[in-house]
Amino acid sequence: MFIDYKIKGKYVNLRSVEESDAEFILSVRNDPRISKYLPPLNVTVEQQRQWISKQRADKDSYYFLLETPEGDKIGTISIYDIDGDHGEGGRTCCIGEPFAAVEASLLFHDFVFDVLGLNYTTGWVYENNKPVIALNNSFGISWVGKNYDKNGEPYLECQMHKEPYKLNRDKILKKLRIIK
Amino acid sequence: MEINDFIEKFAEQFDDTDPSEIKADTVFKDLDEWSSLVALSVIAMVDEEYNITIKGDEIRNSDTVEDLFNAVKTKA
Repeated sequence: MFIDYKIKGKYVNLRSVEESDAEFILSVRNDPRISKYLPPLNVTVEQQRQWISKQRADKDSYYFLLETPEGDKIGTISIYDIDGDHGEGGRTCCIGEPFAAVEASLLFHDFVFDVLGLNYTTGWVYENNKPVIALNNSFGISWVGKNYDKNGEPYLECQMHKEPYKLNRDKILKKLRIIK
Repeated sequence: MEINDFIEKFAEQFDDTDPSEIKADTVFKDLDEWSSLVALSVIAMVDEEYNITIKGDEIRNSDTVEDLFNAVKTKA
């Protein structure tokens, strides 16, 4: 599914991914800074374009592009496998400023909990991705399990519930507002 | 700008990390609590305390607290 408006922040906006974003998505997902922690995409631009077209028509996912207010593309974030009161959050990456990454996560969770009305999201993070684990801890995430990918790399399974997120949201927002 | 003062203020941006763990030669991105939220807090602290604007690149290009201190100092 897609939204036909932008979710606006001070440092970053979220909008639904379009077919024309395929090249950027491939470049960011295959950027070594990102592929260290998120599986790279081994597809062509055309295949990615077709995949986005299909995603926009499906009924159980939203896929957002992160853009600076100036329109520079800096990352992606997504909710998929939406089922009842929950969905899986992922495809998260940001090559922009730290405050843009934090704000994008706030805007995303506000959308998931307040607009979609979900009660929790599931997800996973590679165990060695300490900055993202620490960021998720600040948001009030629960770690619910550990598993291994096909290469034997350990990853942690998590759930973000609406209530703990809401408890931490304002504290994080306050920090964001200090930035000029 | 004094490095000890900077280290103290830098350490205050962490909620759970023992301040004694943070020294001039600490590779801050190796700390368990390091995240983009802490980076944001550091940017805000430098802005508030020193009236200097730093960006993510300056943090990304610094390994130790002293590297970051020097990056901030060059902008003073």
